[in-house]
Amino acid sequence: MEEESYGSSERSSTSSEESAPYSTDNSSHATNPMNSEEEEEEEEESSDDYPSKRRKHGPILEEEDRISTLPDSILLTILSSLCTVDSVRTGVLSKRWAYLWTFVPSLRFTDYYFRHAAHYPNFVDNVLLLHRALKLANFAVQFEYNPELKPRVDLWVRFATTAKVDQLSLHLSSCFYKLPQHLYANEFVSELDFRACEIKPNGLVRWSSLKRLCLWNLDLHQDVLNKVLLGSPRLEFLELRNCDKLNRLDIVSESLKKLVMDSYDEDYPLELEIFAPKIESLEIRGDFYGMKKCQIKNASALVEVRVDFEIRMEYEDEEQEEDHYKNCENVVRELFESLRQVKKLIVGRWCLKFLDRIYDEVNHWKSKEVYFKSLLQCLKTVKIFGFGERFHTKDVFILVVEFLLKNAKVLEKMVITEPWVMQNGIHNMQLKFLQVSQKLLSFPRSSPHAVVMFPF
Amino acid sequence: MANGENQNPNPNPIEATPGAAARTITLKTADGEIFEVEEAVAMEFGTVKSFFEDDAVSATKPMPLPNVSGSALSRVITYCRRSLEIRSMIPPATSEDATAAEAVQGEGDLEAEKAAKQERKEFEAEFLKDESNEDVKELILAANYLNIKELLDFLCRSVALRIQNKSVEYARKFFGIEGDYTPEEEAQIRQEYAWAFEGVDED
Repeated sequence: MEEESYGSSERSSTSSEESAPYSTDNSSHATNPMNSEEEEEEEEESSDDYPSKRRKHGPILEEEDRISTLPDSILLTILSSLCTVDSVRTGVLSKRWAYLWTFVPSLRFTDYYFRHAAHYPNFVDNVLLLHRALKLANFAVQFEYNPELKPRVDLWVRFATTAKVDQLSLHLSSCFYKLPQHLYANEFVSELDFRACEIKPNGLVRWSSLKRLCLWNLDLHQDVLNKVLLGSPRLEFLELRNCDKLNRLDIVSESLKKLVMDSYDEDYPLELEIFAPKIESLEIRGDFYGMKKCQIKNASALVEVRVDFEIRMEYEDEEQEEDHYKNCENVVRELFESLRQVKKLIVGRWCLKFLDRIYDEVNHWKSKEVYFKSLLQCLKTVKIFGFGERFHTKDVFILVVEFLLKNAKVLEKMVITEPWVMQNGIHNMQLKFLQVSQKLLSFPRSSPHAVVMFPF
Repeated sequence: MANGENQNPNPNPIEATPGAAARTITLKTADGEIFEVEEAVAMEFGTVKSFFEDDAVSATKPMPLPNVSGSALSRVITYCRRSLEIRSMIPPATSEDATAAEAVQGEGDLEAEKAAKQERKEFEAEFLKDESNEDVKELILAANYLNIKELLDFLCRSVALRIQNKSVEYARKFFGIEGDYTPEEEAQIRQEYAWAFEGVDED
């Protein structure tokens, strides 16, 4: 971090000049030509706003003078955290600030504050015209897209890739923006975030530095996904949210460590098979309108799983309803069977409900051991939530807890929480909860180290 | 640069023997306060670190910090101490190869990292909660002078949070910037940036 002492000539008693041992970073923004001229003006700043209480502390300088001594790199760090609308406006603050924002390596555009949609693309264009940073760390665009704007958005993307952007985010809504072909071959980008975009590479995908990929609200065909995975040898994190047009999703990746699958809304049922030998963390959540299968193959590295999803379906008669439930049972059972070595498991209410449905009577819980044997050998952490405010009265809940406590041999921590109750706890409900928790705590545990927690 | 006089006799001279428990470094602020800081914490300050790397002999005298007040330094020390604690929650990185034993370690890392992240989040949210804008500025200046990257990044983010979506006047007051434009220049720059103000709601 450089310290450039702009006002050094006027300081009386401080010793900033002799400061040899400051390490100097090469800040690319330090070469801002306007600085040297601006010093003179800054020294004249009046101290009317700052009462003399500061002077009590001895030879510390007047507030403003010291702020103006901050190097540009720090002001730029502050500006980087601002949304671009705010950072551009600092141009009117003073001469020093007039073009400081143009060096911010981060551009974030949102149409949230724009009263008229037409102003937004103009604003972006103007910013890009003035912007001077050689390299971009982030480039994020969020707005209500319409296809007429395609040529302009293409230019924006080109701007970002020319600046070797690290993180590129296009959050568009309703209409689908077709990604320009040049974007599919990019060696610099490490994080991509696309919402409502059309991903259709003509050739191969080459994202050699890509580590994180989030895809939202878009059509994803298996062959496109294959191209993406093949072309992203460093991909560690993948999130798919409301991605349609899949009916079968093979996620084959050597490098993938974490996968999040969130919601699915399509007419034909989803068959999800995940091949990811290195995957450590898996999260399946949201609403799935139609899921036929969900399996993880070769999950030897899987450590943490969070299943908090719900399979929904519209059925018209009892027979369909029964079919639906049968299907759900199968899916949930197969899923849990494929979670062999999971140490940390977070299960949402709906899934847990189905675990129970598989076995109707109390006695049958024993037979669960057959299916969950290997899981129970490894399970260390369990978190149960989402049962609703009367959860402690539900048999299934008590059964589950009893079962797990009895059979999870290396269980270390079980956390039972229902945020709604905790926050709005009505007194006697909390009392009831306490009673139930006493009961739960009394269940025999096969793991000597198990701790059951009820955080409030 | 060395401050010749000690206001208080230094009760804890730096131990010459390595491995001695809790080596401390003495710092003296601009308003004359003396701080005894654990070496590990003081080494988080880039300026202190290079100072002692350059000249180990002066370790016996309190290092002067002429641009830092006592109140600021106290806050800075609190931050760095806590930050060190949180960082030590994460075990040092193990190799990527997964044997059975190391796989267990790896899983512990995942948990530890998450826990550390959460702790940091909570800690940072609390740290500046009651600080006025003046205090935050004071801290930035101190962190800049002392060359503490992590704290500086955090403070910059916090400042951004405080001024975002606010009017230009607010930012001007916050940074204590006296506009140095003449009325004509002001009109001109305002016009040049008119596009940044039109069609956008201001606070």
